[in-house]
Amino acid sequence: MSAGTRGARVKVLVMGGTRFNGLALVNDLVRHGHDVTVFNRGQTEVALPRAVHRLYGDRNDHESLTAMMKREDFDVVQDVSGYSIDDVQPLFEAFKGRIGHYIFAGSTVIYADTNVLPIREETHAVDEGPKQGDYGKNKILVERWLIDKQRTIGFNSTVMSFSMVFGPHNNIIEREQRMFMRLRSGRPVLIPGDGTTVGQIGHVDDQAKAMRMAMMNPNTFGKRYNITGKDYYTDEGYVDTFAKVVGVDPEKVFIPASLMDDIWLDRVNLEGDTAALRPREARSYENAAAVQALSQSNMRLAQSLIQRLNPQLHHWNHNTVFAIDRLREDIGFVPDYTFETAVEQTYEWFLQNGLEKVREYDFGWEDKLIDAIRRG
Amino acid sequence: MRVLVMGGTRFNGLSLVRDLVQHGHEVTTFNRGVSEAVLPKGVRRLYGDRTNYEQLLETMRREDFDCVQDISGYTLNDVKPLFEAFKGRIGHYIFAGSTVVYADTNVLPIRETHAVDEGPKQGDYGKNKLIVERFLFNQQHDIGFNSTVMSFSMVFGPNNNSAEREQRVFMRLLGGRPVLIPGDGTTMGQIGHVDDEAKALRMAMLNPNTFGKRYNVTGKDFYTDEGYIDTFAEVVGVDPEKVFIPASLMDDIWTDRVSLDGSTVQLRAPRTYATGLPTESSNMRFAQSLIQRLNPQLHHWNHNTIFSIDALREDTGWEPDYGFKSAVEHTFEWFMREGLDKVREYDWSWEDQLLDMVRRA
Repeated sequence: MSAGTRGARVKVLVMGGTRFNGLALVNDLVRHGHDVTVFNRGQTEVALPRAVHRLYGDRNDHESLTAMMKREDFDVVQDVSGYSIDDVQPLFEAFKGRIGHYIFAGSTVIYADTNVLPIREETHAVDEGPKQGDYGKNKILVERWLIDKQRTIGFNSTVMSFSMVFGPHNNIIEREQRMFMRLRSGRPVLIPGDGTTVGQIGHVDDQAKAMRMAMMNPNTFGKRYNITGKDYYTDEGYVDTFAKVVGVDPEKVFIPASLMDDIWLDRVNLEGDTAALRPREARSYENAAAVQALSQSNMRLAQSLIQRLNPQLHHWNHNTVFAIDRLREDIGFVPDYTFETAVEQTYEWFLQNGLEKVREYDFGWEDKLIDAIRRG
Repeated sequence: MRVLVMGGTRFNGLSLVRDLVQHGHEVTTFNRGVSEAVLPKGVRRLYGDRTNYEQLLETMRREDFDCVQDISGYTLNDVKPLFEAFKGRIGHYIFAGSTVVYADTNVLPIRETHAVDEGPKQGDYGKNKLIVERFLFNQQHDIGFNSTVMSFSMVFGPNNNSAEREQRVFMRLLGGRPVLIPGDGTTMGQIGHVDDEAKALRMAMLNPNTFGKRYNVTGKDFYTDEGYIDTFAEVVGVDPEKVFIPASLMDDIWTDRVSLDGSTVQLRAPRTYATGLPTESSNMRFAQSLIQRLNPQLHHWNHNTIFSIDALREDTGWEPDYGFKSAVEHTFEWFMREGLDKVREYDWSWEDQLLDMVRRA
């Protein structure tokens, strides 16, 4: 297929098309009349549209992946389950010279912290320092590798850098779903600092739409795109919007900035049985590997107050918003969802699927924190 | 195109006149002739006082234009004589509105569909802009008087007549002074470069997409307060001491619980801003010249105020040429070229008081 036939039926392989982003993409592609094949391990049982072809295998078994894919023909590969060059290379070997476009799901965690926003693809630096995790470092390596293949042998590729994705079937259940449950149970809501830190989410169906619209579009070859929503929320705006959608009026408890600093730098311990916040020796976050090894780091907990992107790189009070202008200019993509409609649609899905009867969360450490703040 | 620019001799108007002439339009300006401005050759000048409504109406009845760019109108009374003179005889009336009209919010950016705030905290300036807008859109609707409101946000750049904004920061940094930053420095704001605003006004002319609509016009970048200072410092080439004003003190300043006037910073009885603009001696004037702020009566010091320019992009294809940093660079070059560093003088005494107070705490 040539670029001139854009808009026509495209034969698409979706690597990892059974969960969240991949599932939304498969549904979107089928709805738009494309011929879709999914490759996954076959472990997550999922209702895919009837017309979808399925290939089963383990993408970590690189030799059999290459062997299998050499027998297949596609116009476009949408890779939403690749993390490292090792993941991507077998597909490249199988498809080089035989596909029209390789689209790789990257991540906005790669970008350096900044105080002039929004973060743009063309101009903004990536952070490959010791605070960057392996996840982000590998995404950058894959991107360079792909862009090099684009340049040297014309292997058309695009990196779609997802930011925090939001919506039905999110497998990260400590984000919007935790907030739904927190609000539904009438709990007080903890808000970092003065509540003015700004963040951004993208609705999973908008992300899928962008990936579809990029297919076979030569504007996108050899480029990276930020892909997220068009709205920004402050932490308090996040909670207010959720509260409005859920229909409650929660007590908002603001965590003093100095305590947030202590939490972020792990100078207090949120875990354990004691009701008190135990001071502990400050740990160094200079090294991402060391941070990940800290089972008792607060990062996991702190991120589930109000969802946060790459908290190792962005201090709790730093704004992280991304421009999606490049995607709009190059492919005409504009998100359908605003922040509020994204929350509404996701909450409807949450209730339709009875998840409010199923989800259980540990609110113990939140209670400790609330106590500590009320005691002053 | 034959364009009348109402108020074409200062800052926004001057930039617009230059942009229009550069793009081959036939430009006429109307002003009092009090501020002597160097206008490009070929610009025709009409003199008069626009608040003398009868005379304005008389003058304009004898004139023919395709488009009127009104960037010196504030009230309905200012606009009505032009409307009377030109109804049925011009193709487009473009009025400079303001983003001060919008209500405070914690979901951003503010789009044109966002609620306006007409409550008691909104100043007359904003209220009048809204009244004019409604009048114009009614005339659009009723008699097809094509009109567009271009809502300027904080404008930035050469010839800015608000000398307490970027120019004050240049002088603060050139003087090696410490820089006061509100709270933790993460509050976001946005400026538009005056030449980008002019370009937008030009690109909207006679574009039917824009008839009967309001557009936000500003830059494409957002700075945090600390980002504002860091960017300026980089451009000026200095490494200033940054002094962060604790959040609680900022609250006190904003709600006028301390006085920055006089010889010492002192506590005073809280005032309320529930009823309109603060008095001359309120802190607003000072607080706004720390890091420039849009409509501080409506937006608390730590609230982010950023605006979407997508509607203008979609309807006119306009795109700002300047990023925040290049806007600062361009303006600093102008500032130095004009030797303004030798001319500008500022009262730093209240900043010194504040610095003392923060350091003592």
